[in-house]
Amino acid sequence: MTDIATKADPLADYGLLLRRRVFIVAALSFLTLGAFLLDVALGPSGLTVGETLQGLFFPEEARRSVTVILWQVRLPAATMAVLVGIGLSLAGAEMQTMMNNAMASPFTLGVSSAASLGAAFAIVLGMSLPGIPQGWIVAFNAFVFAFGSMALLQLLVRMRGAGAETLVLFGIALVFTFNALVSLLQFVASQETLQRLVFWTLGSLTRANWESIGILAVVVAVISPMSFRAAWSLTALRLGEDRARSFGVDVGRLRIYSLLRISLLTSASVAFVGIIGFIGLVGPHIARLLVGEDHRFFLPVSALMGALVMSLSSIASKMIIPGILVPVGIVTALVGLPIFFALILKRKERL
Amino acid sequence: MSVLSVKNLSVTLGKRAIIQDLTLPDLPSNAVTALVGPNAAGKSTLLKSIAGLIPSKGSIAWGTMDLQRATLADRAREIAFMPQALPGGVQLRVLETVVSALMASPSGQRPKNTAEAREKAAAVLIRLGIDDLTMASLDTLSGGQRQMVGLAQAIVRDPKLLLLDEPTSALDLRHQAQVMSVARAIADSGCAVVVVLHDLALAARWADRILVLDHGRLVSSGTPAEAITPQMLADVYGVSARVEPCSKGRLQVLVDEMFDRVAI
Repeated sequence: MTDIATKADPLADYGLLLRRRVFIVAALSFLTLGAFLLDVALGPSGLTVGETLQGLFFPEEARRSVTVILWQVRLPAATMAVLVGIGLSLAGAEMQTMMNNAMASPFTLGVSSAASLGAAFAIVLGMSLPGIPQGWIVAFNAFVFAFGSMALLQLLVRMRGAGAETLVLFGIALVFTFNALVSLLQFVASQETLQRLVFWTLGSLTRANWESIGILAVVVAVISPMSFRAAWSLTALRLGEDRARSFGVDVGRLRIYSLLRISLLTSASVAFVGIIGFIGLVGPHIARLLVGEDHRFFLPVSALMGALVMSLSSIASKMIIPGILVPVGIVTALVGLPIFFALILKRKERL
Repeated sequence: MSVLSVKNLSVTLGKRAIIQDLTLPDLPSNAVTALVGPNAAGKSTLLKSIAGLIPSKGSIAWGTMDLQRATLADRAREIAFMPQALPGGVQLRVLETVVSALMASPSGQRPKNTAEAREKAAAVLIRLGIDDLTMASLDTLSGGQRQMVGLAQAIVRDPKLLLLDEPTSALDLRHQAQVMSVARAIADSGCAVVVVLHDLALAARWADRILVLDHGRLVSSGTPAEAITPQMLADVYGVSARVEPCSKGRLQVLVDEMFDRVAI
């Protein structure tokens, strides 16, 4: 048996591959941090780098206008971009594995639209509970609707089989339905609530505040580790449901928990920034190209890619038209649509 | 030594009864049992209901374990099931798929760490003679290679009862022989192996016992010579055929002509 050692050792090759993936995770973390700082440093008010650094690290010495811009406008928006990127991209990655469909994402299958409808309801009906901030109630209602739409999609997959085209068409139908209902709500809403509603149809980071960031941060911090813990089961699920179950994976339970995670991540993201398209599609797509589908790497790299693409989109939204902040949802759509088309065309080729 | 016993089993998919009141002779450890029969005879359905993947009525027992009531974890400890195909479009290395078969197991059955799982997975790939595929991406493999990898995922968990659904359907002659000799070796080490096969000569060559299924019923069983007869081939497959020993004494099935079922 010792002569096996003289052959090239595949396990050593695999060790190298693992090390490369760890390096990719580290490199992406640094890039994301860099993009985040650049995002904070850039803006229509044209602060110098010195002013930015002083405002960030020694706020008590900086001018009041500088600290207000940094701490109440730029930092919340930049932080929100990172958190929303993580939330939507992680949700997209789990959805793609659950539905065995590379075109699945919260946006393309209408889960984001459902969440925005839930949020719109909460605002128009003025839902409130004593002692609970309204932000939480809006987010909770968004979650209820997102979960409902996810359950509906799961039901379809179960009933009709996971036919990729059927699922995507059904998702498009959901997007139109929920968007029409949001429009209806806008139509009947008062002038004041209308202002708050319009913002959902165009995803934007400008309304980010520390309270909503707190909520989203808690959701991301609680959900991500749970998601990462399911990494092996999710990887096994990629080999087919029957096979995963014969390994001892409780696929039914895995599905329910995954559904909950996807709904929570999506609704918490959408409730505060509106619908931001394609992040949940682009993040996992690039992650799959970089590290494959070992979910120990696929999930965190998807999350990091989402954060990076969102930060870069936020930067681009300030640069496209000098002096004007384009809603970030428009930028992500411009980045994401070509990738979505590429995925569709690639599918056709394979058939 | 445990024994697999199936009694009064009925399986209904949708509104169609696939298997009705099926009782099999006890299938012992240390033996390879081949399930044969025409398409849509209920072979895969039977295998899946033994694996607990589809609901069924009747009794299925593995030794003292009632498989109709066993938990997923209990079942996974004893039984491995290899489905017909691996899904396409999966971006995983061969080694990763075998490691995930180990690491996705219920707690208590998992290797202590991934390093141990990797060692074990690599050893299985060597045993199957596909260690050159260790780093290959699943998506780049041929149909036959994928079947070998699927087999690796099933046997890496050291099952006591191994259920193989057409493991040789996409394999060339050498790999057919290799899969069957691995099945044989696993049986000889104390495992019960149940394998769905289409190739009757292959079944006769490697299996200790053959069960012939048709329309969800057991129509013939026993040693290869007992189960495979010209009468059975006429009744079940609708062919006129000879069953003759070759120069080494192994059974060969030679099909002469089809009966015209429409005319009858």
